[in-house]
Amino acid sequence: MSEANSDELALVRRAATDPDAFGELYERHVRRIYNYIYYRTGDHHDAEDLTARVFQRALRHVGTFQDKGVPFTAWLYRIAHNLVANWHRDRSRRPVLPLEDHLAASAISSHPETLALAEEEGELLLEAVRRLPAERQQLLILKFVEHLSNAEIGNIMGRSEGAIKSLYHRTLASLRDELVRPAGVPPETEAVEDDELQDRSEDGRA
Amino acid sequence: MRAPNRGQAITSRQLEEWLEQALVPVEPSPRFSRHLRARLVEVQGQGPVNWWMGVVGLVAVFLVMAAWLGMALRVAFAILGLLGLMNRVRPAAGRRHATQLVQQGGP
Repeated sequence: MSEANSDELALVRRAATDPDAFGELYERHVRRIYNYIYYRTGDHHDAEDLTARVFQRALRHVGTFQDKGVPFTAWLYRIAHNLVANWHRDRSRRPVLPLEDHLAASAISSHPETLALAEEEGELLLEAVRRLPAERQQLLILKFVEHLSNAEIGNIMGRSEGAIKSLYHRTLASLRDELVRPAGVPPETEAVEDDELQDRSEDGRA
Repeated sequence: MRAPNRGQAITSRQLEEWLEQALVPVEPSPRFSRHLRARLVEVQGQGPVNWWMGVVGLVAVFLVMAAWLGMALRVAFAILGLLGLMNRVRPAAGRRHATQLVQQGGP
């Protein structure tokens, strides 16, 4: 185990009873958890709300954290992933279209110039990213926002470096399909099962 | 990088460049970060105090209830004692009244 990991583990142990230790853990991880949630939800207010809930939940359960070779960051990402999944489920039950999205959507459908502008701004790309399975979104966020290596991403996501590399190429391919897919055509549904099968074979080879 | 149009082929390199431009780190507002940290530290700091306060509260409620129960029992016993005394006084008074009637040559 590296010195950084053992230092972090000692901090996690103290955090169960020491407010300052938990405060330090919070300082170390809040930005990356916020980034992850922001890119999964696309909204700053929701990102703030969910980030607060992640750390409140972490505070309640930090005493139960066990060192199984998985970093504390992965544990936080798991909490964030669960909360974001609940958030998406709640939203699908009560579909809400923010005003700016609604205006953008109506503008896109009527003005080709506005469509080109929106595409340049990257909003379409982010929307396509958000349509990918959660694990692929996490991979892209860790790679492009956090600039982590495949090995570091594998450590967080509980996969081998080879599996991450393979997943990354499949993610780019499906994102490309997503971007050129004509509007109205449903996205691929077997992506998650496909990832699991591929990763099992990758992990077997690794 | 300019975003490709729908239906236009895009290479992996182009897509990666586009992702690099679109997925940039964002910062939570300093106010949010500060407030959340303060709230978390405060909540954790209050944990054991709250636990002790809960115990103290329960003990206080128990003592008050015991005091009330003691008082209620005392009042109940006092009333019962009073009733018993009255019952003892009443037959004695009745017997005295009958004796007086007999002495006066009553019926």
